[in-house]
Amino acid sequence: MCREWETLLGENAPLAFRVARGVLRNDADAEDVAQETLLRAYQRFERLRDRTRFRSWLVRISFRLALDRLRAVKRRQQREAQWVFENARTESGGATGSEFQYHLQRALDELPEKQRLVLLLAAMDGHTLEEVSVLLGVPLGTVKSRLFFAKRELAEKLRCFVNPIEKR
Amino acid sequence: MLCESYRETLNEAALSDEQLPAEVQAHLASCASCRESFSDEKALFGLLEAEVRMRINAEMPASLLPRVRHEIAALAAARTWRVPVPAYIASGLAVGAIALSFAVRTKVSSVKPEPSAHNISLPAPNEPSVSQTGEGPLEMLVATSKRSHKQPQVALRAEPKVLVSAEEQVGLQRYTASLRSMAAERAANVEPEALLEIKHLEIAGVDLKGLSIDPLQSGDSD
Repeated sequence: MCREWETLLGENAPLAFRVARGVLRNDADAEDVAQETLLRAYQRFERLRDRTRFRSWLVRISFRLALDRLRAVKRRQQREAQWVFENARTESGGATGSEFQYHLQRALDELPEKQRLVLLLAAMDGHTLEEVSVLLGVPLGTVKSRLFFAKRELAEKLRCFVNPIEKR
Repeated sequence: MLCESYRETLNEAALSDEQLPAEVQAHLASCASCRESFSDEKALFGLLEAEVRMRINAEMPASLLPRVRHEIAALAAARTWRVPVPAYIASGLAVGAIALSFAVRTKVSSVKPEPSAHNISLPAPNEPSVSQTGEGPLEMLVATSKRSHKQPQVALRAEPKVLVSAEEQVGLQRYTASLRSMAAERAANVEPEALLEIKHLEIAGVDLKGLSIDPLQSGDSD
């Protein structure tokens, strides 16, 4: 198990981290979640019958744990709001306003979980929609429709924040 | 602002980045408002995608893998020492059983022996036995004497071995010696007459009246 696990760990640790990062938008929290994800995967690795489903399994664990972490963070709403504004300024690099960043995050958080996961995986470098379909074990058409509705939802919520930014 | 009849098509085209139908392309060429709105929509979706990509395609911190390996090593080490719950239960039961047997043995050894056969005088050889069926006092006596022979063994075996330190043993020996000397002193102080004052059983005189038996008269017999 050790050699197989070591190989899988090296190949898939970035995936676990990125999924968590996509939900949490914070490196430190995402690293914690990725670590917990990989530990859980290690502990339950023997129970996974189909090893080819490892990536899909890992994505789900990471996504679920990241959502749990996000909910815990949201309880500290005051601290969270302050952090978002501060972090958005540093992350955006001045390309867009912090207000847009803040509302984008809120809109992402309000998306249904299935749509959010598809949106994140489809945005990940090197992932085609076919790969997302395989990763999640759902038909390609389902992936496309979830992605479409997710983007439309985001656009509806953020349209009013884009035009003023561009006019600046 | 998009013209109402083209709104749906243009929105979907901006979202999916698909090729526009010829009719819609012709409309865009002629309508400045739709062209501007369509351009805004495409910019919005481009911005959203860029933002989401930026969030998710962050570089994995170099510290993550060492942290995970360290945690896994710690887990493996903990698993080696971990004793399953049934083992705890089994060991608890074993300890309980040992403690119980120890307590029972201590109780047995502390019970005073019954009046044994040593106190019963054997009947004289020429005296006739009451019964020869095995229920008589002779058999009982034999049985009791057999049991009485075993008693010291039981008492010896039941004597618990208690782990006591050397200092405590010395203290205990002194204590028992003092108790013995006290008992001897008391025995010496008792007057021997008090022990020998045993009154014999006295039977009061019984006044037996003489019975008068009259001879049967003829005709009285049944």
